[in-house]
Amino acid sequence: MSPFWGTLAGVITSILMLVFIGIWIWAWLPQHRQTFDALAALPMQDGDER
Amino acid sequence: MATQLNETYNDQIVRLFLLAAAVWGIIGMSVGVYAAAELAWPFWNFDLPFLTFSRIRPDHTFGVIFAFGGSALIGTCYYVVQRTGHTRLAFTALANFTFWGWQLACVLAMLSMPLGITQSKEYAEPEWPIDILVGVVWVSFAVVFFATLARRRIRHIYVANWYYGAFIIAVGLLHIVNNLALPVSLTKSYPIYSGVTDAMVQWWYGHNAVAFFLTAGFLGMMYYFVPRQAQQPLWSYRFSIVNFWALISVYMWAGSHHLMYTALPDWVQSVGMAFSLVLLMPSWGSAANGLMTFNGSWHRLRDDPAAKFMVVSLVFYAAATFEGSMMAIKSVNALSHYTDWTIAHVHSGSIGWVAMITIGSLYAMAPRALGQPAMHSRRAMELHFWLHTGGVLLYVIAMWTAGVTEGLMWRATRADGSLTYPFIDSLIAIKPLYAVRWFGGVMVLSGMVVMAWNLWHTAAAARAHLIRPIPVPIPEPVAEQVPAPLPAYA
Repeated sequence: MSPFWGTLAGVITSILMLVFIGIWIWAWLPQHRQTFDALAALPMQDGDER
Repeated sequence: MATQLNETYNDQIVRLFLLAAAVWGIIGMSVGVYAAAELAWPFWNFDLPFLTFSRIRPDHTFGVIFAFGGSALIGTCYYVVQRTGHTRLAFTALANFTFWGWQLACVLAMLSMPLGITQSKEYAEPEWPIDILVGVVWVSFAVVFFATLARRRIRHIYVANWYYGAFIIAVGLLHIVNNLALPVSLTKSYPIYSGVTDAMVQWWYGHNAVAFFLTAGFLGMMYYFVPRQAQQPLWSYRFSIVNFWALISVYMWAGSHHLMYTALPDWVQSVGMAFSLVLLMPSWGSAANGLMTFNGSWHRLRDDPAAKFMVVSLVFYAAATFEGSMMAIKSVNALSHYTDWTIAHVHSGSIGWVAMITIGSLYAMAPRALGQPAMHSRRAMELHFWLHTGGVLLYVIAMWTAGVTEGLMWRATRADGSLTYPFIDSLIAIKPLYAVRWFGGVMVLSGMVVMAWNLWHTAAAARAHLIRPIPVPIPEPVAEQVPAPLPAYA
């Protein structure tokens, strides 16, 4: 395999790692807290038998 | 908004899939118990070709994974996407087609495989006409699901739907790519791949069938029914988002761990091993999220068998994914591969995690879908829990012991390098464990019969058409809701 492919693989891996860290940061942003709290409680709203 | 008050949930389709799951669960597991009996006592095949282990084993795997698991997945998916979107299921007729089409595909597959009609690809045995039917049904399922999501009244898509969506998209992709074949007759085709490429495509499919059918789909079930049954909000919603993206981006690359020490290039084997190890993180992340959701609600385990099923399933999920990551390490794989350790692993995942989260979710969903306040008999649920838990423990402990015994006996050598044991010695050593495994299977199957009896009685009012459809609660309109809420049905 030529060095080009190794470099390309490294660049892609780095980009994917940054994307993953970005998702983590996005999920922890304080402005999402209210929405996420409401969503976390959504499954409990099914019906009135309880 | 007054005109929308007549919209009701489509629970009719959910009830059909619930019935199918109960029936296929018993059929698939009965075939499994019979196959286990043949391994312990080979006379059970009666020298009949269609009863030999090689032909009924794919019947067992297809029956439990696709017929039982698939019916439970599609049914709960239709239930969850309506409840988490506060909207009625889209395209009622197409949804009915997904039910009858899926059942037809399962019946055809289950009947053709014992006749020797097979592609000989694990978990993808059915021949090309059935594959095309499955493909059409699957695309219809995707249309119903995503159209329902598009008309949801809650702006954000609840995490369970992300998992169900990934399950639908990935399984469609895997099914089509792995089943590309050239037919030579109605019952025979040849794959377009050959040699090690065919093996890699097959195990890319095979492992991702585990990933997206047996994991992502059932995690969708878990993320909805665990908070619902615990009556607690999901422990960490933001953590569930991180785990979702980690799981779906990593799982795709792990398939080559099924081909360790084969003709597959060594670096591809190493990629599979590395990704399998990373996979432990999102797996344990979801297991922890589910278990932590029960924090503050542990007292429910005393009197709610559905919650017990869920908690034990999450423990098995954590245990089986840890075991899977370890077995993907080359040196561990050298001991475990081709032994019954693999069978122990897959069954702790399938009867422990997958079947138990399914049973817990069905017990949680069934009363609501059948218009009852609770299941007919709580004691029967309790009995089912202990039969199932006892059965799975007997099964996996017997197979772990058998697997390690085989691995050690097969690799043992004398000082001159010759094998210490002839192969038959390892078979004789594990024969009692095969009987224990069969008995564990009988216990799990008995539990399924108890569940079917319980569901039948819970469904009495539904059978007599005495129950009324449940109205969709229409939330207060959200100013910036995208897409705009749709008008209701009559």
